[in-house]
Amino acid sequence: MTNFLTMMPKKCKQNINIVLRMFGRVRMIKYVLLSSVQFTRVLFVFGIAVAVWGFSGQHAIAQSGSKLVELCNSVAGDDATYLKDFYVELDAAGPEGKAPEQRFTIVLSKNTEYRFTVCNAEGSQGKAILQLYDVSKLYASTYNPQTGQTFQSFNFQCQKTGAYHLIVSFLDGKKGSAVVIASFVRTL
Amino acid sequence: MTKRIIFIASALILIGVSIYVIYINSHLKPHENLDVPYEEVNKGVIDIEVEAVKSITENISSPIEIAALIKEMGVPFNRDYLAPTEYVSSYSTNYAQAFALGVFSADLGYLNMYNKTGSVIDYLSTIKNLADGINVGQYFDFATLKRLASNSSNVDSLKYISVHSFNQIDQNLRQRKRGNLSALIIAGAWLEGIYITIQVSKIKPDPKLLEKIGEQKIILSDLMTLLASYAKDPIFKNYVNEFNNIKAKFDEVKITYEQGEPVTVVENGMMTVVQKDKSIVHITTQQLNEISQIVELTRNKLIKQ
Repeated sequence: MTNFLTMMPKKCKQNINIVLRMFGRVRMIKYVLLSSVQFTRVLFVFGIAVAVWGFSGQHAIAQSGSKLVELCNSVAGDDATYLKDFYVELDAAGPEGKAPEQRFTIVLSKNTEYRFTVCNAEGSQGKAILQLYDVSKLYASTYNPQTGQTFQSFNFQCQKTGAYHLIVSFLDGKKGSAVVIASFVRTL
Repeated sequence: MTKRIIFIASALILIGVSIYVIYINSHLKPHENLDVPYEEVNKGVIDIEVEAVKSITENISSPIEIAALIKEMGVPFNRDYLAPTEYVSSYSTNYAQAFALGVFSADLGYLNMYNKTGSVIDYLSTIKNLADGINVGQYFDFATLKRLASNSSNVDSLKYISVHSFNQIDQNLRQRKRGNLSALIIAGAWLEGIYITIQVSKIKPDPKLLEKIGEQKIILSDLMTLLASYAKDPIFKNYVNEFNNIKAKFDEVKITYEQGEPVTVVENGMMTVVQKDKSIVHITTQQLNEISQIVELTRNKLIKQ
């Protein structure tokens, strides 16, 4: 029967023996001396276990993002119909002090009232600020730097069909993550 | 000797896969999802930047706004406006499936807006089949949607999950560099939305509806930028050509703008910003008729392909 050690290069076997002697764990030899078939089985089981762990972990992460969207959609209110969500994750401001920001473009229609709601993710260090611009004009912000007042939502009564920009940053340039929900409120 | 080589190769593959899975798991951001690679559909397609596509296409042609406008006008629900599902099984390309997915997403929005939960199930099933066809069926929670559709009191949840599922499909396609399919879903939804608006305008030529049709010139312009980026693919180019025919008719429509300063009102803790800039659509009856004809022709042709 071919065992695992016989297949290894000589130097590798020496190293294993040195390590085993160092830790005095002679019984481990039994595990090392598994047949190639047994070893393949162990590796196979290990691979499957890692794959299951890996993919289930990713699923859990994706779900938590969806949960935040769902939660934020409920914050937007019963009178608002969900249209779109935007996930934001930003690092802290660098040494130059400028707060990082993320921009999204959204097409809005005339004679329509929209609601934009921003929700911080659980554990987010920074508090998200949402601003709505067209090409150059600032229409609304969830934060008023003059008064320090913050809003979780604002409504926008659109009278000009076209592309608008949503810009998200975090107060004081802190690191943070948040979700923005764009909702339809009513036809004007 | 051969056995040893096979053994070593197997071991290395398993270790490699394990390391890859661990790496992927630790580097994915919350909104990223794993998907089966889909090289086939990207053959001959130029690889445009995800961010560039995103900037063009966020929330283009949401069926919700149009459906809400139609409903608010008191126009009764009409099943004849909806696309027939009978051609779905004959679609031979992923492009046709993606385009139809967009068409039926707009129809679903129209059904949901009128609380027609009983009729929704047929469309949900069709959408699920189409989504499976382009390998994004996992984002369409058919079982939950079907359950919600069985009770008209769940219509808000039905609307939310429907739209959210489509957003996830769109997001996934773009992240996996299958933006060509995402573009066709958007194009299908846009075309069906304007098709329904035109049908309604025939029985109720309300100025708001006519303006809604005319202002699609702006949205179609963005949509064409997106579609044109995939036009190197010969099958995709057919869609671009069809939409170019529609755009040619919209080019005649004139849109002017008025400037104004926004007014902000805070009431009961809610801030509302009233925009004073204004877009004004100038559309003649002849232009409207020509747009109606080309939209109907194109929509009826593409849903049969």
